[in-house]
Amino acid sequence: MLKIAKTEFHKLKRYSVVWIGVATMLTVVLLTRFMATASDGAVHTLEYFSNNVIWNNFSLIFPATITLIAGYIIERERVDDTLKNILTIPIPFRKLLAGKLIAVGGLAIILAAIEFAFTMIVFFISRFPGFSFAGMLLVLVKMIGMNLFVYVAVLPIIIFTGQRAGSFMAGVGFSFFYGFVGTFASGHGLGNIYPITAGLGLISYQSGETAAYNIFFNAVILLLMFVISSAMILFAENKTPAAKANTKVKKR
Amino acid sequence: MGEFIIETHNLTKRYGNQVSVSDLNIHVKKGRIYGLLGRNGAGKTTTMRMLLGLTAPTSGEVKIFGYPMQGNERKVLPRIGCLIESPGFYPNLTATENLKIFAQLRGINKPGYIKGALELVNLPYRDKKLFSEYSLGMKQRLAIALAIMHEPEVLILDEPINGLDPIGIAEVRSFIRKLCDAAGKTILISSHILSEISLLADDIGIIDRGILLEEESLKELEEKNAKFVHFIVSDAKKAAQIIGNLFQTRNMQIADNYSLYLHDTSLPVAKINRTLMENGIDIKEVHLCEDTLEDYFKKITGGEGIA
Repeated sequence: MLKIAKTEFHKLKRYSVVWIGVATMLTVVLLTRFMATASDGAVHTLEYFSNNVIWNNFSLIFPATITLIAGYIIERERVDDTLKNILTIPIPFRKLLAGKLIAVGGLAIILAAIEFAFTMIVFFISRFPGFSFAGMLLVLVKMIGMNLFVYVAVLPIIIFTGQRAGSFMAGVGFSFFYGFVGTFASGHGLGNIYPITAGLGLISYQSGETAAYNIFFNAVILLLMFVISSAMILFAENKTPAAKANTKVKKR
Repeated sequence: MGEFIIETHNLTKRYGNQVSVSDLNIHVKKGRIYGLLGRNGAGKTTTMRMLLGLTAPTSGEVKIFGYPMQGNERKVLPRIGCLIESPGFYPNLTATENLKIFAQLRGINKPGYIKGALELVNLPYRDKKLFSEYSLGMKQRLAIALAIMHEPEVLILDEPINGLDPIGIAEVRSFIRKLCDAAGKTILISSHILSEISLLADDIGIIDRGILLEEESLKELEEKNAKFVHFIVSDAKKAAQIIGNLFQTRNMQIADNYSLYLHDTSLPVAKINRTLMENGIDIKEVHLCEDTLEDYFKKITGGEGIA
């Protein structure tokens, strides 16, 4: 499986979808900086600013972005007609899917590191107060943690749409909605059980007022998402419409 | 394992009400080239996809190396190299990078294997050209390189000469022949180009509308081809009467006023000529003719010819 994941990184060479991830990470940091100009009286320390970046990222950008990247990486095997070469090695579709999801997990960490880098650059340019090395490292850990937890929360969507040829964009739309609803879920006491926001407790996210988290619930919810995803992978198969499977590719 | 490397038993594929392949029984012998010949849409690709486990059969069975394909994919597939439909590669990578990925997935670590495979098909190693910039012929060559890279015992090649120029076709043909003769590989090749199959295959299966109409060696098929003597004379009807009376045969066909086909080639043509001339029939031409494979194909498919 790790061998498959490793080749996925090779396949990304000169592939533009990775830049979409980088662009969205920059966007979320710039958006947060823009929002900071409108804040009344709030002191934008590193912790406060980075927490806002994390909030905007999980609620607006990251669920859709990671679903888009994963969907592209899965769908390209069908579009580039390379799936038949892999299946005849033989590597079963579910194993390929699992390898790809591990690679996308790695990308989620890389995107968190990029988000962190942009956050620090904008933080320093803006000359916000409250910098410390320990604080900086904590920001990095929180960003990586939150990205991974959000990724686990959207995994079932990725696996469901990844099995069906040409349906990943529907997954992207749903993930955006799923992430955005996290804002309201969090505000109505559902933050502990809503999968997208469950990670907030696990990274001890605090924004201004002290929030109460139930770490046990948070962990159980994300574990449940992981178990559901694993079960879905075990039974995953490539679902290409019969008519399409029987049609010769005429792109020669 | 028996005599056959690949065999199918009543292999059938239906898409709804449409039957793509019906009760197909093919038999590919070890160390031979088997040509699956049929028009576009005859069911060749569906058959090959079922052989490789890419498409599940509706009924019937595929046996490769004596093992049923279903449930033995891990045992069987690593011993097969294939090219199905169009060449499928990552457009953002070079040929070498593409082969490297598939080699990693196959777990091949032998030094020089990618270079060797590319050289065999006359493609440059470590070229900077991306797959998306390749011509169709180059793409097809790369697909062949991928099929042979892991040194499989069996090759399943679906229309491997598609898109190649005449020189490329000749090269690939001699390359495939060499793989069979020198390396002892068993090759199943499909094509709608009859001349290619007749130049390359040892055994031929003719498939039409999903049904295998004929399966024989090329030699047997050639022997089956009808032979006849074609007379162009001044009066075909009168000539037929004379030959019929003289040799007590009715195995003739009058094509028009001047053309006569004598299907019994054992009769002495010189004596026929002399008799016809003695009876006042002018003979313009006499030819010993033989049906081509295309004529045979037309005859058994009951329709038009093939490329």
